[in-house]
Amino acid sequence: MPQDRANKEIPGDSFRSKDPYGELSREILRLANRGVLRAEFLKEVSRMIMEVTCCDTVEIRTRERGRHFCSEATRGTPIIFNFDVTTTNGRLSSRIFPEMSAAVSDWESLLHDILFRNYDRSSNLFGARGLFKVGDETTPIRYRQLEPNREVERVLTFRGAIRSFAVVPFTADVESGCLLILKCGQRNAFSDETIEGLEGVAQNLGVALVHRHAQIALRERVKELTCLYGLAKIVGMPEISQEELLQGAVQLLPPAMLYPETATARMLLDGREFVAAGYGPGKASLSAEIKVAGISRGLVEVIYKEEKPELDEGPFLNEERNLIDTVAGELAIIIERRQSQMERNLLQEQLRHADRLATIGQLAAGVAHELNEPLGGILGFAQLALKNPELPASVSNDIKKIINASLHAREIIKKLMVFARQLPPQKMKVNLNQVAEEGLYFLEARCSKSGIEIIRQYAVGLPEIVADPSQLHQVLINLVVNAVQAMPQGGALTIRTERRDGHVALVVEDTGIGMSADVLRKIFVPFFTTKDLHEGTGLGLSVVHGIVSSHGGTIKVESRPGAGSRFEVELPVGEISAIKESEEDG
Amino acid sequence: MADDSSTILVVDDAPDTLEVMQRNLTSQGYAVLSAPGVPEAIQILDNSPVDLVITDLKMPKVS
Repeated sequence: MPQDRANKEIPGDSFRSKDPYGELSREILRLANRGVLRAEFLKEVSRMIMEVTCCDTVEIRTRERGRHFCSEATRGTPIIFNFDVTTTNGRLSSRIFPEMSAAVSDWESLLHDILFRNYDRSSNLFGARGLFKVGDETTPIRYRQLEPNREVERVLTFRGAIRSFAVVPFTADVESGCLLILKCGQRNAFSDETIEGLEGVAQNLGVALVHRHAQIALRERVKELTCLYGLAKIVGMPEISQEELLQGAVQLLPPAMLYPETATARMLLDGREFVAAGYGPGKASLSAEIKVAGISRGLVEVIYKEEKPELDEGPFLNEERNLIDTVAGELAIIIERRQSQMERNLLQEQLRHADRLATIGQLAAGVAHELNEPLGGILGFAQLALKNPELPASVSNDIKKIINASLHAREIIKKLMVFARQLPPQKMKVNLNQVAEEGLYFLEARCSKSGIEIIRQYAVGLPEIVADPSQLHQVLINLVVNAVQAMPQGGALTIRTERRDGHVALVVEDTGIGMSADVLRKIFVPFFTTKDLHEGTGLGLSVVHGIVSSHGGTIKVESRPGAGSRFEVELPVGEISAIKESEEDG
Repeated sequence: MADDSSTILVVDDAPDTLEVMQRNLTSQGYAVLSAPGVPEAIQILDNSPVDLVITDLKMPKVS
């Protein structure tokens, strides 16, 4: 049994075996295997060393990738434990490492000499592997310091309660220069047997530190991969909305951090915020921008709610920086992909719609053309028959009804032909403001009767366009008639003209009942109507569509039930050559 | 009432249209000639004085 254990009552009994230092080494390695965090690891190691030896203070100084770690544990209930980290490029503390500040104090200077074997090795103060021990430091320590090219006799005096101490240098991975320092209030506390044991423990501690780091790195890597895998899984969910995606993704970040218990996260996208559980103000944060197609759209942010020791970037690891950069990058790609998919879907829907309209138009025009001739016969012969003065009044009334019905049918055919662009527009230079005003002339009376206020907003200096004025009148009239019918309780009708890039626009906006998305999809389809049978043919907007298309323009509709509708007709500002062409056609 | 001497030539491939036009114009007092196609119309124009031609623009067999 070692001498120090015989002299002192040892707290705890976990190391009462024949080989306490071997047992201690194995315990340290087991602890490393669990991948506990550094501070906790050093504290536990210090506690175990204090259990096996009689020392009052255990100091462990280690280095890793440019950072110095210093822990100091002092016997007590509970153990008093301090842990410091400094980076070589950050603030330097004289306490932390000897080679940084060799001249600061006798103690630091001694540690420096021990670390660099900067002493006369024949001295009985030093062991073969650089160990240094003092049995009673009330007497000054004398040793010969080996400066380059000269020897200096150093005399060091320490004051305080410490009587004996041992310094054991050890190596962790490629980083040499780690120190295990034991201090004790008793004289001659460290026997040869203890020192031998401690040397073994120190070497094992070096191995354990490396192993612990590998365990932590592996665990962090697993956490990161779990996070990325979780993200991939969410993205792969069919039908998941962008909101659900971000809300799901933000929950994945905190568990991927080194200190998940105090970590939280949030994501911002286009001004919308998505937060992980327990989100709140923090002591440190790490963020990455979400950049879609070169434009910043938001950010990904991880937050520690408690103070944590300095690591690579604040309390965060380089790996964590990479992770949130990756997450932000992935999100940007997903958002971009979703956007283009949505645009593609919309375009496809529009194409399908246009295609359907064109097919219907061709069909309608074909039917209209075929019907036109027999209709001409019906109308012509009916008109001839009516001229017969010998007709009985009842027959002549019936013939008048045939004529009226035929005229009605002719109107429908005409509209179908306009819709299918079978009646070429008679184009000339026109001013859209003037067209609008002329069209409104016929409509004002009807509007005021229905309690509708007309608001005119004509753009000043509108460029002239090349168009068929009577067809444009038709467009305005059809749109206004619909608007009036959409406002049975009255309302406001806005007629606006606008100058746009290479185009002029006519906007007809009402405050009426609006349309559902379902209705909106079908409004240009011939014969689709929401009106009563006698009120409309279902061709008004088809005609509008036909006219606008034959003018090379577009029509856009926005509507919501209860909120009114807005029709925007955009027509290109034509060239004079377009008129000539149309004149040649005629 | 139209001048007695006015002669109108109506050209249309649709017999019904032709008949309606012919009867309408006749009732207005015109002398009406009718042709169901371009060759017939040209033949009439070559042989008779015509004051006015009313014709369908698009008819079969006309280039």
